[in-house]
Amino acid sequence: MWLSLPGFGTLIVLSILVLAAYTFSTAIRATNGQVRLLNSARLGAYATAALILCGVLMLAYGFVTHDFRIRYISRYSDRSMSPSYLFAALWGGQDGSLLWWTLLLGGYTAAVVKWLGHRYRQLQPIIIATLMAIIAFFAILMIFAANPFEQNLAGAPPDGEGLNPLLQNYWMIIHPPMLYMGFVGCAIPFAFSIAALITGRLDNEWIIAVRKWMLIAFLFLSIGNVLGMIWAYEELGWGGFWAWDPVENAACLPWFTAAAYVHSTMIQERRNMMKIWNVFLICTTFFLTIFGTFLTRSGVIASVHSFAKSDIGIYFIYFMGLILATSLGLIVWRIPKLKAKTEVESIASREAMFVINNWALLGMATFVSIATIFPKISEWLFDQEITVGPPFYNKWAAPLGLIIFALMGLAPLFGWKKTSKKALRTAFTFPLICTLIVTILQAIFGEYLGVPSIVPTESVESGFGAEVYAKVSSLFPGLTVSLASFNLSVVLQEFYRGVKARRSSTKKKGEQEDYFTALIRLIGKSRRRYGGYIVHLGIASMYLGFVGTAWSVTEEIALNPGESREVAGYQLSYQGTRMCPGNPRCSPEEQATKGRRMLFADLEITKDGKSLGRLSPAKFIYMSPPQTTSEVGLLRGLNADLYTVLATADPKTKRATFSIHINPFVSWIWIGLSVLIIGCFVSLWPEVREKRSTSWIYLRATASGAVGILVTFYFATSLAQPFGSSVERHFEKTCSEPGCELEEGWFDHQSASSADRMPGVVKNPHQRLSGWRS
Amino acid sequence: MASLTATFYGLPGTLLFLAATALSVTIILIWISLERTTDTQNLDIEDALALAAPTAAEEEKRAVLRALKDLEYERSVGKISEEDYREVSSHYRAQAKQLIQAADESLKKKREFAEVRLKKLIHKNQPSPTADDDSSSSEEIK
Repeated sequence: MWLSLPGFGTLIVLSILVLAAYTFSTAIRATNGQVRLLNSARLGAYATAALILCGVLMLAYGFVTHDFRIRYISRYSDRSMSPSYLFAALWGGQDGSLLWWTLLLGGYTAAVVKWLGHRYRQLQPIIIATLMAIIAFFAILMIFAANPFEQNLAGAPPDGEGLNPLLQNYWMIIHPPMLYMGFVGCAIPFAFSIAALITGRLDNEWIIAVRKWMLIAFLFLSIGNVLGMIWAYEELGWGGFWAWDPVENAACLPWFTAAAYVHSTMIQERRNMMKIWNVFLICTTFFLTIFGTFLTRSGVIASVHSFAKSDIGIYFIYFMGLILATSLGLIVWRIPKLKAKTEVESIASREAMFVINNWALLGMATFVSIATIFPKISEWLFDQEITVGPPFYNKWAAPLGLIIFALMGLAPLFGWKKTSKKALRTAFTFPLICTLIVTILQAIFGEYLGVPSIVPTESVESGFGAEVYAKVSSLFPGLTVSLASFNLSVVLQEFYRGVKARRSSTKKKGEQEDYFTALIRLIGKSRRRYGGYIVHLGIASMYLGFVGTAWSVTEEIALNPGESREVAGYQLSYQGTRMCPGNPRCSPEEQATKGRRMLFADLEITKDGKSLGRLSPAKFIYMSPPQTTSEVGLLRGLNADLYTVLATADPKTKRATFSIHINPFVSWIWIGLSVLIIGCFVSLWPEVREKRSTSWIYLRATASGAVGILVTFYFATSLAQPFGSSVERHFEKTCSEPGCELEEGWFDHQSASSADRMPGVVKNPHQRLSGWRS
Repeated sequence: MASLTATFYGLPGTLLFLAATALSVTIILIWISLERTTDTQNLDIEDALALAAPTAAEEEKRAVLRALKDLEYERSVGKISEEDYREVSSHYRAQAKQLIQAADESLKKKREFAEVRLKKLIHKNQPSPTADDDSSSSEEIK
């Protein structure tokens, strides 16, 4: 049995459990201070990580050799899939994604053990033991409920079922690993906090180490969430990027608490306060990652991500119970040691701003989590499942989000402990003047530019309160722009004041620095502070992208070939349809496509008489599994995106209906992410002076990581548009040739039946806009 | 034969090679780990030094010193008035002083013990020391 791949793989999964248990027990024995046992446990942790890697590589080998004896491989791949999608299939289904999760946790464990070195000797054994316990949980899960190496009982089929076409998207290759990196990364701070609570070493040093690891998790959570938005925007074809789907919500919950923690930890560092709160936030963040995974996997709440649905929910319930009991029990036990000796002295202080910001972030996390599980809560309480939709989320998330946005700008203006009125006046003058100018300019020119300050909102509920709220919420777009300018001016002012102070101090020492050198040295000296400000800039940019939805325009248009229509200043000229492969006007890439047929509807775009190129929204018809998807035609711009979706096409007349969306400022979300990544790297940049001999290793590693992520992001944003410019070069003739003709009836047949044939995939709530899926 | 060649060639071959390497590394690491559990050798100097974890007072002292540094920055960029700076700064300095004294006190016994050990070691390495030499070396240690 062990000579076959399924058998060998299962043996590896079993061995992971055994090795994790061995390392756990050695680490526990090392708590008595025996260095040899600690070293043994450290080696055990490395060995566990290497064994998990071996398991993942074996599964990848099974995928590329199409070893359909393994059930997971036959369910999520087929012989027509390219190697990149075969790798994506590793985490495309339930069982493989658990193994992938375990691999990432093993990688994090090895990294943290290496990083710890001789530091935090007292905490190390418990940190290793906690991480091993989490790995053991996932190993148990795989052994008893979701073995990725499980053999097909009926024998190997000739071909697999193929990966869900929804997941055959460039973003799906990198979005889940990034999100998992964020989720799994939260286990490291959790392990530190458990170690600190058990050993009683609750001073401020461990919290500094934890902040770095939490920042890494925060970075990956941000990347993962935004990549998920890009995927939804480009693949689901409903014109938006965030639909408050339960799984989307689950992914952003730990982001809120992680963001709260990276701020509140500074209060503990500076003022020796909020120890209980910080430990609580770390444990809550980790708990929310497991809770999010539970929501994704258990199928307890209906979601577009239901393809990952299974019966492993009960295991997660036990695990969540264990995390809650352990964390709360330890916190209660250590309360005497965690109690602060100092308190917030003035509301006009940075710590007071951080406390309010923490409550707002936690409030947001609580609101989103309650709204997400509300269908179940209502079922338990009222025996009736009540689902809350995007309007409900938007109604309450908008004011909370604006409070957080305002606090983000306010906090840097205050000093620690207390700030005098004079200092406040100095700090607020420039940002308030900038905000006032932007507010007035938007009020005057906003209507003309298509971004008015006030956007009338219709109340979704009846009653006086709802009417008043609708009036207030109509001010939110203008308020968001004002707050964005406030945040931007605050950050600019902080940089300016820092540079000015640095130049005057170097001048006193007899040196003279130019502004640029002073800026670079200032950032280099206070990386955490200025990295944080850069992150604030990124988030302000994202807020601009979010508020753009308030001014978006959506129109449904029907066109015959040769007809044109103007939508929000864009002239759309419909050229006709073409089926690829087969049509002579298809590009060589399209002609070479296997495993699917593609119907493109080409639109020539002009604006103010200037040609902007050609968009080709399409319908893809997959053979395995039999399914049709909508592919959007997208013209990106800093001001607005032109987003086109092919809704229907008549095979006889070639008349097509399109859903056209003008989405202002969406690109600023992706730009904001790039800025956020840079800011996080500045914050995480290691201290190079501490160890001269190894500093360049760290520098090179960090620089490589930063460049790698940025280049990946750049490639992804530029390569994810396969049907824009490439088509343009090959589309020179009109649709009159035999190969261009549609097969009668195919489209109606495909679009009518594909959704019903999709087992396990829940239709998107925005279906009416663009066909069955979107 | 052809299928065997295909198995060890290209992407599948690379994956198989990497998996085999990972498995070998696992086995070696487990072997060393098991050996370490029964290891009775003395600690190396890095391990021994690492055992001397900083006390809570020392860590609090570091936090206060960091806060002082931050306060200096806030004064330099005008976020805090001169009056507030003096008040908060003197508070932090007093706290730092107390903590440094507390850290010194807690280390006093250990320092004395180390001095005695060093003194003995020097005696051992200098078989015929004079009384003058002895007093000067102990002065140096102090």
